[in-house]
Amino acid sequence: MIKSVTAGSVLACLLIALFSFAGLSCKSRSEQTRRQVVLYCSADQAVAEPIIAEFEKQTGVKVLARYDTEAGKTVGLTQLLRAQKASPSADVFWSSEVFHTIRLAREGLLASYHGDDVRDWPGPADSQGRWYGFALRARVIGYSTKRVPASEAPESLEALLESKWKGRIVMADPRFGTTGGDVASWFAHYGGDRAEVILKTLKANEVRIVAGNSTAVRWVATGQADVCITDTDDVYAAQRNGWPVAMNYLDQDGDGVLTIPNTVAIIKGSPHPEEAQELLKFLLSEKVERMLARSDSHNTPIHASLAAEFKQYAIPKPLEIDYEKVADELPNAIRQAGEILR
Amino acid sequence: MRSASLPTVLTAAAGLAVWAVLIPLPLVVLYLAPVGDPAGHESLSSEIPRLALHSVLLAAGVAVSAVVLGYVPGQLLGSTAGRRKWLLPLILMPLLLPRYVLYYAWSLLLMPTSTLGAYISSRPALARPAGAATSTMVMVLWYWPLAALLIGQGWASMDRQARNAAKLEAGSVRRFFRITLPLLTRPMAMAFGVCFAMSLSEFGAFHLAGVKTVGTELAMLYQLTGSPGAVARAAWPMAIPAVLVGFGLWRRSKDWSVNPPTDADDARPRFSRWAVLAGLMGLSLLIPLALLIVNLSDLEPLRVFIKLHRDGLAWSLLTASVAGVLAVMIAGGALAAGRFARWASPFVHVSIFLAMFLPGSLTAVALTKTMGLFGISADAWYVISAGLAVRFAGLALILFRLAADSRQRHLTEMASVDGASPASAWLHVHLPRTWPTVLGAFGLVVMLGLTELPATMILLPAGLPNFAQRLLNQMHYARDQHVITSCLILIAVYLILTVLLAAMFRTMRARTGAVGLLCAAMFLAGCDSSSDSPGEVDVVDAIGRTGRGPGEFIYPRAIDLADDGSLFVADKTGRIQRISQSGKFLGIIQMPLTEAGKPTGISVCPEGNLYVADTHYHRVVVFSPAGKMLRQFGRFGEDAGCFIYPTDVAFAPDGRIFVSEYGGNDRVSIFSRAGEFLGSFGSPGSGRGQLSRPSALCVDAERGRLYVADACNHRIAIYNLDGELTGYIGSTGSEPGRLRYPYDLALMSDGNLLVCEYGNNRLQVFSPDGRSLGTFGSAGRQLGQLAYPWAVAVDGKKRAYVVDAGNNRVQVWQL
Repeated sequence: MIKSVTAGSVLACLLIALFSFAGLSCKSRSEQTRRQVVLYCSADQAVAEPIIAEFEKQTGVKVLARYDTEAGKTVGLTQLLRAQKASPSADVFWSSEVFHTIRLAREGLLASYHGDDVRDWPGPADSQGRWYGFALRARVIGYSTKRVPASEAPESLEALLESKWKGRIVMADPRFGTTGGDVASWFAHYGGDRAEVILKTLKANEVRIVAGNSTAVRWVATGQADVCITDTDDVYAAQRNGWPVAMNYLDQDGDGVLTIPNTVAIIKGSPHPEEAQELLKFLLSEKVERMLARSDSHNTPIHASLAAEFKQYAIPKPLEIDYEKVADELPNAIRQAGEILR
Repeated sequence: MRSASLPTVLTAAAGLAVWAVLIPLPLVVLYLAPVGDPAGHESLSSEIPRLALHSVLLAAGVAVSAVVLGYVPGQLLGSTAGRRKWLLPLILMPLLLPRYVLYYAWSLLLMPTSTLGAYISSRPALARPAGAATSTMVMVLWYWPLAALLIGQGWASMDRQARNAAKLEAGSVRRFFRITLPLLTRPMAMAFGVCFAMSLSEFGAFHLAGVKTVGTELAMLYQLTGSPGAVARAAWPMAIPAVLVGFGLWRRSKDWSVNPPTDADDARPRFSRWAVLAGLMGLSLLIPLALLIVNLSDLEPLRVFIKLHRDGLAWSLLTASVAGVLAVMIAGGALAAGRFARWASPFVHVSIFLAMFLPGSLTAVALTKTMGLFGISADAWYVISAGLAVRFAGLALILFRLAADSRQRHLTEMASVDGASPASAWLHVHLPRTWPTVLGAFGLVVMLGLTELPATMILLPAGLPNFAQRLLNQMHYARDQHVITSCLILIAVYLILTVLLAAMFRTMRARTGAVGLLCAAMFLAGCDSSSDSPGEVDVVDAIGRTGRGPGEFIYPRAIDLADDGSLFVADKTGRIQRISQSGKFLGIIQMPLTEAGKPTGISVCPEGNLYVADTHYHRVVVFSPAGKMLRQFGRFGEDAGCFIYPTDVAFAPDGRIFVSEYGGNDRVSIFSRAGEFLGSFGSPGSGRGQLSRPSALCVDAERGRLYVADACNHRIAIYNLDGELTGYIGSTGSEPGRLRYPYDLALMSDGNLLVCEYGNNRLQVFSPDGRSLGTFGSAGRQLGQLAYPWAVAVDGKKRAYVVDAGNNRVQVWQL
């Protein structure tokens, strides 16, 4: 008995030490009197965290953030929001894309917001004020500068369909993230039949499907593929690491490249509506766009006042496309892409 | 002390309650989910059957490679008892580096910024196979320690006699294929099964590498659908190998405690084996660590981590620590089930192993679904702890079972014969010995829980920072310097935890070791003294003391009286000492071979020669009274005239010799005076005419009887001198007339039978018609008390010479 008491005491001491460390470090949870807001965020965690820290510092409102991973990019959080529709836990949804946000709005999960600060919103937005878009990214073709000369690098979706790229292309799983929206935009822009041909031609070109856009870029960098379809931020990340990867915008039939805004929305039935509005206003501020443009992600600002400051990230020819229409096409596009590209 | 103490019962009950709530209930809910949930998402889950074959082949390849690589370390582990203490943790060390970290570290070599990566990346013909092979290689490098662990147990349980015999007769290659491989088939199959099942549900490394498997797709499916029903439907096939392997693991784990390795088996493993182990440790641990360190070029991420992300590490430590406690409770509950509720034990064990083999995403979905059913919010930090505990309780259970060596089984038996309940024995005897295992299991779960991903990704509530998720995201965003910094911090945390645990082991051992042994010994020998009614004992003398010198004993176990009244006493030093009745040392007979074991039976024949049951050499050796070896008979085997473990010898008036034995034969063989085999009787078992460890023989020539101490059946069998059973004396128990482990017999001059009861720590006298005429002695250390008496002899004056093994003495009692 003596021994079990002794050993138990030692284990208890270990646990107390661990708990104390946790308690000292987890400074926020015990501060329950502080105002808080629950954020579901599919923007990249490393990019979002400094912005959230700035919001907390500026407002004193504690943000309880829930991030996703590349494994279920955006889709996982939207499913969770649907599951919690009757009793929402989240106050604000910050998505790294727009198409799933539109579908959530249509399903009645998002609340309208019409503050003065969004009256003449310069970027994409819902007509009923249920979401606002900011900080754009674009779809690009990433290519290996070691194996693909810049002069031969594909500059459009059509170029990727050429047989010379057979066995050399990689792209992310279209069921998740921006790739799904991109494929849906092909259906919206080219029409269903042609989009289907595009997918079948990509399949004939033996396109490889990987978990996410960043993995696709990594494949190009390590020589497992020569070109990839991805987002601007993933190529910027590769270049930051010194990888031999460059990019061309993924032009659709000469009409321009699909741009994808971040979106922010307040959840209908939000437990903390005042704090939710504060966070929404903050995320839509010039300050945040500047932070995002300066971040590793290098998003393109929609505020005109920032255009000159970040002209290096300007997207030369954005595709004129109705996001609502792309969102319409999303389920069908994902299904067809899944069937054709498997 | 006979009933389990309240804390023991409560601890066991708490462990089983945690198990019931966290494992079977969610599993049942999950697999009933398809019934409750509307069908749908078939198109999304259709990918999984398509990937099944590919995933199975991949997992099988990983498992086969892991078994091949784990063979040599397993051999080292299983055949070197002295080194096991440090070899086991050493071999387990690579498991602490998460598979996705291992993958990331190795993939740094393929990055175009490295020389090798630059070379490979410019050659697609090399780059593609290299990229595809990296994740698989990493899996193999992570799983070989698990395979080694199971193969090592196989080695430890191997029939050494068969192997040693084969060593003499066959070359190494032939021996491997004809002897070793067949003997190791089951543990190797088990190792394959464990590695296969776990590879099949792998997520992190394959996800990062862009390799699609059933494991990655199941995690994706829940993200896509948010439907437990869809996940459960898709995951049904995964449960089949998991259940099979879980069942197999449970079956195998029952044998783990049988034969601990001995140094004698393989005292000096070849250098090449150590070289293989060193190579594997390098590939699985040292090189990846070196890759991380040499690629660290910026300390800014460290500053950022300390400033911004230490809360994630702290919360992860907290959740993992609670998970560690829960996992240890579950594993402890499973062991308790084996003692308190044997019928439930298979179900408890298999369900724990099943939960370990299922994908983490399934575990998480099952928990959230269950909590939803009961209206409990899953949005809490402790739900992650629950998920981690479910995932890693199986590992804790494996460690617990591995730690249960044969000495513990022996201690259990000893505690049992002292009257302690299994639970009391566990609390007072085993718990002090097993604290290192408990803490080790706790530490392992904490370390693995810190980096677990599939379940954490689903269970992580809003606002709770998490180390593993952030690390995965950093990997995705190719923030190499941040990733490397996080990995090195993780390793530092592991080191701190290891040092902390090691310090605790040392402190506990120092403080509790001596006291523990003393308490255990006192408990074992003395705890029942108050509950029994010792018979009156007239102690005449006590001969001998602890030691290896003349007149000293180390655990004496056999005795007989010579014609001149002197005593022959055999102890565990392999000596047979001849001692006068007054305790004077007269001489010594040294057994010719003692490495395999020492004799347990000695009998002086009517001619005065000494017949020694040389138990572990499967023979009877005959010495002259002066100690000269005259002859021997018997050899190992089950055939007529052979022995497995001979225990005692007795002599019929007509010169025939009876030899009892156990170990599988459990019979009495009859030989002529010349050693010619004449016949045998008895077979292993507990039925009528069967024997279980017949440990002593005694001939009553006057009544034409042969008494056989049927020790493990707790009875004395009575045969006539032709080997026909005529009756029994005694049954299991402690009351007068009952017996517990009767280990020796002696016939008194009045025809009564003197029985030495190892289990009841006493002598008991029976009349020829089987009535108990009295008991003498009780458990303890004082004169008149006994600790594990093994043998007895009695002279014509009714003086009993009791071999008080646990007290290293021979007591002389006047009956």
